[in-house]
Amino acid sequence: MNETRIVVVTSGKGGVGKTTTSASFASGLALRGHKTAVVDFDVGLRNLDLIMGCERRVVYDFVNVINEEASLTQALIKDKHSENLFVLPASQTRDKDALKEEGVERILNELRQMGFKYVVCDSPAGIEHGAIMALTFADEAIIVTNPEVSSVRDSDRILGILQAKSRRAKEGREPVKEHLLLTRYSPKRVETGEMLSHDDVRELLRIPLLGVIPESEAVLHASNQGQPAIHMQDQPVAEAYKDVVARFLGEEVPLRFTTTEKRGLLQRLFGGK
Amino acid sequence: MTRVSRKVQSFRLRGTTVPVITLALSSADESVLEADIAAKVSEAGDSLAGGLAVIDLSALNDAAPPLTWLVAQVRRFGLLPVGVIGTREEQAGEVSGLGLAILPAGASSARPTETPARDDSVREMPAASAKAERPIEPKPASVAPPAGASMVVDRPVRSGQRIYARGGDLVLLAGASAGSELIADGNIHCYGPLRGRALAGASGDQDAQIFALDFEAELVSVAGVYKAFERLPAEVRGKAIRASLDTTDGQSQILLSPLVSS
Repeated sequence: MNETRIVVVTSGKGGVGKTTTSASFASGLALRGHKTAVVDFDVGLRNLDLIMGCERRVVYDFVNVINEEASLTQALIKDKHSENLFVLPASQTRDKDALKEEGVERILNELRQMGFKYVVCDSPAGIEHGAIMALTFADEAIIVTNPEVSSVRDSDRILGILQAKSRRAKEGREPVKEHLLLTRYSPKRVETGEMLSHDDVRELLRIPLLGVIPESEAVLHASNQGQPAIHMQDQPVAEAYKDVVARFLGEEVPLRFTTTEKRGLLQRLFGGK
Repeated sequence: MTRVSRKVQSFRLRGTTVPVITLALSSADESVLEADIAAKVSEAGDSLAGGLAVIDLSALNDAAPPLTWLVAQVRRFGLLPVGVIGTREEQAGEVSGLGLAILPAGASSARPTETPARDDSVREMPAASAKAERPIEPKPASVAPPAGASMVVDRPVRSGQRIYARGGDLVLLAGASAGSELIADGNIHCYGPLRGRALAGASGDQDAQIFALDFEAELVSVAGVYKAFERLPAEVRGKAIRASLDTTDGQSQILLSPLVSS
């Protein structure tokens, strides 16, 4: 049986694109043929099921399974796009204290036994209990960061917490593998100096860059339609997420969508628009 | 040589280490305690008078004796009670009411005094991150390094983390982020970017220094004399810098100078 990798998608700061990333990243792994589960740790707010478009199929949730009111197989929802993807939704009626460490560990172990290759944990914002639970059992972490100073500072803080509170750190095992993912990146605003560049952020956080997701209206449309952004046709955002998945799986893919499009000499000469 | 300093005349903030006597209770029985303390007081005479004391309740599983009574007993030694370790939640009000500090359990012998932590996560950081980094010696993390040993941290120190090299030097191989706190009783050496707060000579060693290859610190301090930088002067920012304490003209101030004289 293949070893299960637990990947936490976290940031410290809210509204940077954790759930969007969790949905697209998990979908991307499934599209590549890996059996994947995506788990919503944002108990009390519950967004992942909306973005995955499965909110009407939620009967049992993460907390029900922790409290042994339902089995894991009852609570897992099969994704509508992929055979390989399952969603474990959060509860909207409980608070985050319902996430007991032993319960979370038990469920992750059950997912291991069910042969999942990847378990993607969508962390809530902040550095409180819910966020700690999401990162405790992680093997790898995707640090979602917006190219601005306060988001970078919060990411730095969560990296410190990852070093201190993850099981890998506490047990003195190999540290959690850290990946930087920049979202809502606007090359134009980077050029005008309103935004930090990906080199700036990489220099500040000093962890390897997994990818850059451009700022896009399309993300909002996708969320409203209950469809992970990675499934959209001919959208830079979808392409960028596919690149992220490829890099995560060890492929070498050059960065795209990080510069403003330059108009060619001929276009300028002949007044092309 | 660049001299960057501003005088604070009304007070000085200094980190200090003061010996504290711990009274660790193993019984909650008031009559037994009273008899034992009476015996100890006559034995000790005046030798403890004026010392600071911390009452350690962490070994008691059942109800602790009334704190007001306990404090009076401690005073019989001539000791001045300053804090309580192992307080249960319901006692917290009483402890604060007596003007005593509530100290975390486990703070008794291992960590005599430390600058107060700002919040729980910060307080837990030093031990945890010391464990997270690859140990210098292949010993289990539970074995405390001998006093005076230097501490080597090979991963970046992150915002909100506090590292304390007790009794020795702190060596940072991967730098420190803004919002981190680096404390050493000895020198601090930083081979990556130094963006946090660096406090060398935390127990009062005025000869301690801070060496940084890429100096972007928010604050530097030597033996309690500090210099905060709201905006780093261009001549030191990102440069290889040494921070030391200059006591030549009667008053102490932080001196920043190039690490390599050229």
